[in-house]
Amino acid sequence: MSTPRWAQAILRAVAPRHRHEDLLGDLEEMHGRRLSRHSRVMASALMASDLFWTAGAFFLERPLGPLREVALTTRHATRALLRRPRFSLGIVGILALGISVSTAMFAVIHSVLIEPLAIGDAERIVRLLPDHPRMGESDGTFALPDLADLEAGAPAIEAVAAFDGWQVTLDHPDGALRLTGAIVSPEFFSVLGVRPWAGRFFGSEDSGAVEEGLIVLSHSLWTGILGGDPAVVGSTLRLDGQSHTVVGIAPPEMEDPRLGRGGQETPSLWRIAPASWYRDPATERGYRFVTAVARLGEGGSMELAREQARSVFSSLAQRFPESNAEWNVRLIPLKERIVAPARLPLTMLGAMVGLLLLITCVNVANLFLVRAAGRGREIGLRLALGASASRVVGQLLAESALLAAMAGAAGVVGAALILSALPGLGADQLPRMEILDINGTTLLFGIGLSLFTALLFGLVPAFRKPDDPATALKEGPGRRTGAGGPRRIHGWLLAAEAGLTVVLLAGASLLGHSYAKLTAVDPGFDPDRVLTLRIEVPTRLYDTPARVHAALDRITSEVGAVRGVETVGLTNILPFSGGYWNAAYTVLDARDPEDATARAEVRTASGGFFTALEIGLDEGRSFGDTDVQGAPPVAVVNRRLAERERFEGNPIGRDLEIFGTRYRVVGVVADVKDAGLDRPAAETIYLAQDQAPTWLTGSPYLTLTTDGSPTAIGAAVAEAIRRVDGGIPVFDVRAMRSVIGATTAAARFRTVLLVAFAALAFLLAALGVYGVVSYTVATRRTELGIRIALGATRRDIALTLVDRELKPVLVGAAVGLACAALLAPTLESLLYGVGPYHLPSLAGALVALAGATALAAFRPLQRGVNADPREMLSR
Amino acid sequence: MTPTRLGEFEFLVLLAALRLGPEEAYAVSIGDEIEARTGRRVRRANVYTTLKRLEAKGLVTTFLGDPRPERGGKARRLVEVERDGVEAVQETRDAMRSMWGGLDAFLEEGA
Repeated sequence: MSTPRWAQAILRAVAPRHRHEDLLGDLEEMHGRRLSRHSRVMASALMASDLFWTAGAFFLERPLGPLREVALTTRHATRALLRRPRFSLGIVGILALGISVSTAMFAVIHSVLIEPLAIGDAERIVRLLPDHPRMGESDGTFALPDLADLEAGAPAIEAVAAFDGWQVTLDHPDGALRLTGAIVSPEFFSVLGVRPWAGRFFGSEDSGAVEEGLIVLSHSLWTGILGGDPAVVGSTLRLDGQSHTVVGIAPPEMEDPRLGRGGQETPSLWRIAPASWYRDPATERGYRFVTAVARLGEGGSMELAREQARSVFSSLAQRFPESNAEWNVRLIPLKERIVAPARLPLTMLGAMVGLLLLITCVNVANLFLVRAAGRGREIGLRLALGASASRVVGQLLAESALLAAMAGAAGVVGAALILSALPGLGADQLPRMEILDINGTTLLFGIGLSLFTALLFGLVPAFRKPDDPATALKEGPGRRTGAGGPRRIHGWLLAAEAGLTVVLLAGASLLGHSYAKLTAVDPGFDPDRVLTLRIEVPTRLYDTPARVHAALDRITSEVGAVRGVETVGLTNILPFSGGYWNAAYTVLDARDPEDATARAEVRTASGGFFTALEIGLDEGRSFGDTDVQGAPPVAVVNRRLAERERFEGNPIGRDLEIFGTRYRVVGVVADVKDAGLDRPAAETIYLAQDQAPTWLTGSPYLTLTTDGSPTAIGAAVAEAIRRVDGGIPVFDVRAMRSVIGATTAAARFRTVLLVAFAALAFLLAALGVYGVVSYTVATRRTELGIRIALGATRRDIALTLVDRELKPVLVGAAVGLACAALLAPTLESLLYGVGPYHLPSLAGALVALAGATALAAFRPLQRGVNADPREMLSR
Repeated sequence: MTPTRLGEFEFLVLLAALRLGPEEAYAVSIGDEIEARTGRRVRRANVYTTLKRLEAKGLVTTFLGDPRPERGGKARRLVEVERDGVEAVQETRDAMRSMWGGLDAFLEEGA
């Protein structure tokens, strides 16, 4: 919890040496206190404010000396800025907006993509993935003997560790708790290079005692449910009714769900692998069930390790063709594996923020240019009075630096606010968001950015050739016609702004359309008013299928009696929960035996499942009370499967063989898009819940239709289940809507952010147009006055102004549209239901820009057109 | 000796340092003490500035204590109120008392 290094550096720089010790101590103490009361982001923000005042208190006491000049210039600059409060506020506001959004985005990209993993020598840790022609990019598993051969045959790999998912029930005074953990080989923690927080990890001395349940607890399980008692090390916990000895506690940096199997949940505990893992290698090569990580040797290169690993697997494929033919291995740095899913969306958002920042810069440049044009007289006067050119440039610099400092401070505060709002927007589904913080690098980025933009554009007046004092003084204020150079620059800037805005608007519009299409997809059932939860019937107590089914029956009737519950259904895999079970089935009396066997998704379901979710019954019947153990086994198939040729148009009454059991198809139900709204419904077979083997039905989901808000009765339902048996854990209690919502969270997150960026760009573009048109109308008053006096109609004036001032917007928009069309294909993989060249999106972007331009230009144009020529000429 | 005039915040800081004693008085605890007793928010930077002023006037002396683990092994700069400091507090109190005289009834009524 120590104070960030940047804060220490600032304090050391301003405070006298003899005060470093106590001031740093005070800062550390206060930071520790704040961390215990607030979030990390909030604590950092409070510390920054504290530091600002403390550093200020010591800085102001330093003798002026060489700083005197700076102080004087700063005072001049402050006065100059205060004289034009609207300009100053405008610049600070616009810059702060751009800086806060870019700094927040940078913090996210830095935490997720750049910052190294907290565990050990993260760059030496690799995930092993099987490489097989029929396997995709997904997680894959290995056979233990293959891993042992890999470790022995690839010297560039120092060690390999294997792990497997583990679901257990913890007996706890508050009721049975369901925990997700991992079963790991003894070297798991040493391969990851982590040190125990307390106690020890598994070692080679444990391999003799592997049947004994040795466990390591996660830091959060220890501090949470177990109350953080250090005496827990060495004690025993009852898991699934058996004693397990706690040997140690893992450090907090192990709390990464992606270090678990499947990457869904953070492991709460790790158990040493039982001896049953290590069977006879000769017969178990085809038994692939463990996930693998490896540690490269000191100085060992990734390339070399890859080469050696592939050659080991190639030789295994030759030696054991039956089990290993076509199997090879891929090595991917662990960090790459963790952050890969976030790379494309974050890069896209980062690029969009870059565009937004460019728009901000263009706007600031425009404002500075407007101001520079009006300051010729002031600068001329100062030069005439003897100020050196360097002094004048110095003051311009000081003004910009002051604006930059204010914008930077506001921007960093804004960034902290944005970061604290991000989890609510769905950012928590990004990897590594738990380490998100405003750290030194982020702060440096924000400060650097503000200095760079403000200084670059603040010096615009200085880069313009300073007017000859005499000429400058001859000009009256407001008489400049802004001819030639500056107006051309304004035109370019306006065109650039319009172009960038069109790109952003088009991107946001594409993602918005895609998101709307995605959420409008009919999942195939009605998720409203449906509550879902999961239970686990402990097999050690319910050891026969009859007992399991009896318990489930009692639970169903007890839950059905809860006030507010209308229908209760059971299934082993809830739609949209991410679970799947793909199995082979054979149509027993198929006309074409070649085509009789295929694979389909297999689920168990009770009749109540279809009723609760309102999944339509197309033909035949659903499951009923008679479909129990002992009765002829029955199945229901979905529409997609029913249309397969092998059923010859009528699946009802046909017999299927699955897992060696014969099931008669009794009904056809509507398709359910249970793998995600953006995927087609899979061909699915439902087996009657009461007839399916207990290894499929022991941990079912309950689906309940309720007469009101589904989550309101969650506690009452859990209580009803506890009445049946307090040892049955109830978990994953969620409304069906939020189960589906979780699958679209990533799309929602990037869409919300991009739409927000586009809205900002829209606002900035409107401001830019307003500023430029107001400025030109004001500076061209004389010309307009003369033209009106000479008989030009208001229509002529309006057309001239629109033609001259808004043509750049049109040109910029056209170029922007072309760029948007060029860039759109990079977004293709993030889109659903719309192609990258989606005309309504592109047209919408143009219309929005045209609207912004018209709105922003209307008032200043009106002022120009309706002006009284006498008043204009007399100025 | 000419009496030392104390500003309001200086007065509060001296009183807090006297309450805490030289074993426990340092910038953080002085700020906490004033916050707890007066209910007003105290910026630590102001405590530093005030302590420096009081030290320059010779009303307090400061010295480093022992390193503490909760401070990352850093020591606290402890504050001891000098004799002159105690006198300044007394004088300020007396001045206040004398200004107070006869106003109690009025202030009670006003409240």
